[in-house]
Amino acid sequence: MTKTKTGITALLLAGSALTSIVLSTAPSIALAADCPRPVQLRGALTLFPAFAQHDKRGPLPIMPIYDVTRLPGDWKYKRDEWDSTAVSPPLGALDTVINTTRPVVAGFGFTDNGDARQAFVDVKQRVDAFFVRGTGTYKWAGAYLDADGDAVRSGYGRDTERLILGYAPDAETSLKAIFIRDEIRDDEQAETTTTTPAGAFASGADSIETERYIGRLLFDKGFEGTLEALHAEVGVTFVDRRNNNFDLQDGRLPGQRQEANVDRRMVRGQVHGDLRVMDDVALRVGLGGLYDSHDADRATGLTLDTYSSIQYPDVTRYQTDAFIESAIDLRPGRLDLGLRWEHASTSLGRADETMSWLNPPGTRVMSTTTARNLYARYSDTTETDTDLNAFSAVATLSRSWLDKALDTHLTAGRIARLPENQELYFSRNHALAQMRAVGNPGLDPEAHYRVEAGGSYESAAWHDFGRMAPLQDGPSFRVSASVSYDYVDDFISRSRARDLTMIWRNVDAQFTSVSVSAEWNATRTLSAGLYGRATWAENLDDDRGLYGIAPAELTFLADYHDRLSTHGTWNVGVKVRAVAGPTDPDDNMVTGTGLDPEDIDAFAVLDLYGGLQLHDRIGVRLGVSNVLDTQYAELDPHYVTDTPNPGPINAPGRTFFLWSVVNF
Amino acid sequence: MTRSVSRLDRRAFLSLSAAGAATVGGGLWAGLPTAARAAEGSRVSIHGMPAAPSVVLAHAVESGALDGLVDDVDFGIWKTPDQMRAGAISGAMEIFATPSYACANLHNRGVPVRMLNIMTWGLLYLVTTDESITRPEDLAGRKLVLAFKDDAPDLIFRLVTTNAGMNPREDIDITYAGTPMEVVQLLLAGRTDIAVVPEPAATAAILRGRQAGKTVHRALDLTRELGRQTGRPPRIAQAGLGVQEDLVQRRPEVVQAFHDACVRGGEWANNNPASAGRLGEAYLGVKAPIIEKSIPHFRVDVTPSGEAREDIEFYLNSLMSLNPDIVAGRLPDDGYYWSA
Repeated sequence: MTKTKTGITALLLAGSALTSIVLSTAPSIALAADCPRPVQLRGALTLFPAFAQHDKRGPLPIMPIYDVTRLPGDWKYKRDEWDSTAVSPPLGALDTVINTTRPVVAGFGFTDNGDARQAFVDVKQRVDAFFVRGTGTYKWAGAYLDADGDAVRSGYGRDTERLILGYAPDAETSLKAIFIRDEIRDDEQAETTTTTPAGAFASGADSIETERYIGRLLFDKGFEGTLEALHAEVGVTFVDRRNNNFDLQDGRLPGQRQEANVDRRMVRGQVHGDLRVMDDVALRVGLGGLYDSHDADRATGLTLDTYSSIQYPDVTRYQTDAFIESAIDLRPGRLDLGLRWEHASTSLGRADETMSWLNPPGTRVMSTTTARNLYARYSDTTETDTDLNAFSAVATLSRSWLDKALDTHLTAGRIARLPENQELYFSRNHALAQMRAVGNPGLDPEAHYRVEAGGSYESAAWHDFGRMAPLQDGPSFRVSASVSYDYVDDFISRSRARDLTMIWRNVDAQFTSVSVSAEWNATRTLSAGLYGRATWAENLDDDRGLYGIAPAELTFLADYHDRLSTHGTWNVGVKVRAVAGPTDPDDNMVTGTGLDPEDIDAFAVLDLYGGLQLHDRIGVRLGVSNVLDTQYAELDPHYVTDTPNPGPINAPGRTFFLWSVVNF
Repeated sequence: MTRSVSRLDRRAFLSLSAAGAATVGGGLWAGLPTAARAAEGSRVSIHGMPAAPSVVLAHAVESGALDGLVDDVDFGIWKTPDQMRAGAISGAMEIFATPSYACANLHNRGVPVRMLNIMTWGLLYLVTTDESITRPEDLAGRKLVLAFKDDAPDLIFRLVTTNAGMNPREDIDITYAGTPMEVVQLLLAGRTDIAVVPEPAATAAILRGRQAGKTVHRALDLTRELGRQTGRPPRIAQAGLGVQEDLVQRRPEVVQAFHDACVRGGEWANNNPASAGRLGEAYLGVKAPIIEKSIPHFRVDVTPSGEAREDIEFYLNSLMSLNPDIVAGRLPDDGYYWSA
């Protein structure tokens, strides 16, 4: 099942998973079990957690390509449907149909509210040393109704395909190629994002077309000796987007028509080697590189031949990073260390290109400017080239107690983050200042000084949610908790200029987070879980709350399952998600940024679901989301285009859904 | 009802010495101390073998087969055939997984046990990286590895090759390894290209061979081969549950209920191999996909021993043709069999 995992807790769990994979594939499994295993690396990147505060406004993630524990389709305005860290009910009966050794899995799902449809097929086959897997998913949806029966502007069509080709001539060598195509069409934004404050020119855009192509080539080789493994990969990402405010919206005058075209090309590469030194010290040394070409402009006028904005003025970014990770066995504990240095140099090709704002009829240029002029005006700099460095260091001490029933960890570190292209260079011009957004080429990297402590305890009879350990008596439960504090020097924050233009600047900030969970298998057929998290975040420079911080949340799951019926299995369950109201929202653009929507209240939503499968071959899952038809809106819905008008956007009312899945 | 259970020593299982032994049975045994009855009152002890057929037992226990009949089920997995024999002789194991011939040996030597049922009807395979091997005759002059000399893999392999007109001791260069998993490791390491192993080791060899870039073929199903040679169906009454005579007499309803649960468990495993794989992984420590892929090759069909008598006697007669001591010199009498 999906559980909320944050920070080092996720790292530790990922490490455990990695270890189990290694164990599962080791040919000398008997020896592995009999002898203490040398300490294993946990993956350098996982030592440097990402921060949700910087989530981008853009298309929803590609992965997972399908997930039947959630509603069919994409639901941008219901956080627990798109947030990968959100708690979901277990797969239940469909587990053995979805996660099968059979070569083909196919499924279809739909909802009554919003008419969401999703179909997927997943085919995998191995022939000798060759492996191939092809996955495709196809989604459609329209506007949905909130709990009051009002239509919420929404809808899209999306196709995603993934092809994986693998070649493993021996246990120590693998070569894998991954190709992904993702296309999203006519992605309509909610009404609040397409309209503007009174008196302004309407400019909120729908995403008419988004195409993403991703290719990766990965090579892994194991060795005997000091150098144990080598990993190399290269990848390319192509993104083309077209957003406008007239194909799916009526009433735009020529001068109000805005169409943005985004063109981004990225090439990445990374190589790292795993070494074993001084008997039992694992070491990973790696290098990475990125070339990023990012160009986007926004045209206006009847024939769209006038640029109103050069949103990304032909950004060229070269980024390199070097990292070292080590794992030291301190039996009975372990120490994980990570060091990373990143360097980015960026430059612009269109900083001085003219952008013109037309009058509504589109007959006259009302004003002109350039990106450089905007930077000078709002960031007090005309220099657009940057040369940035970021250094990170993290140490994690972990230890198991009570015959490995209790795991504890303490981590501390400085985690630096380079400013992104948008933060440095975004330049959306507009006649109305509050609709304008201008990046800041003078931004410094932000530095998180972060400490986290946590632990988990599981009883001997615990195996997983919904499954008690066999051959064990006693209660079956698992509890975990973690707390973290993060002081951020030069946090890169959106802000407002005096004329209310959206800008980016460095501020000092602090985050305090708590995460807890308790899971209990009351019997072999009845399980329950309680998962909570809370984050307090403050902009210290301005003495106000930070925008975009999800309020405290508590999720309760209960699941009854019968896995032992002769012809199949079934389960039923309930999920209750309770979300607190924001205590200090940043919802006023005069006193803050106004990026948090106003009037967001606490809410609790009840979902019911049930699943049934026959012979591990065919299954259905059906349920009701928001059974009580609760009217609510998320503080942080996912916006697919940048908007200065953040909502609120009402979440779906009562929604019936059905998934059907088959394998063969 | 409570379940008083003991944890399987995973390392012991992973060595698969126990797994192999579980599927093929213990060796010859001599010396029969008087059985001591450990089970009293409303408690019953059930012990499976550390191999995939125990998935059926796990299903029976987890589904509460004996709820209302006994207060406490002591469920465990024996680690070695010697442990099983000791438990059967002492009476500490009231219901226990056993090869049919091992139970016959015990019965013929006076241990008050009988065969409750046959659960698996043949699970021995010849796997190889040499795709030219398609019949027993192709093994002449070749080297191969198998585990458990003079135990079931060896015995059944000798039956098949002898029926094929060979003298396996002379015509085939046989090396014996300690456990089926050691045999698999030798195969994947390229130390041999032919191996005779029971399930789930055969499936493990194939799946792990893929990970190692080797194509391992399931070249011969020895059960099917023996059936072809003898003109019989591809069924060997190989292993099932033994039961203490005392329990049969004292609590026949418990014996009946557990057998019925095993019948349902067998149907469940055959119908839901992926679910069985997950349950098996939890109990046995073998990856679920291996158990899932292995189940169709186990020939799980839970049949009362009384109904399987002809098949059992054929199998035991065949073994006695190699060495009568395998079943203590004679076919077991009526007291060995149980009917539903």
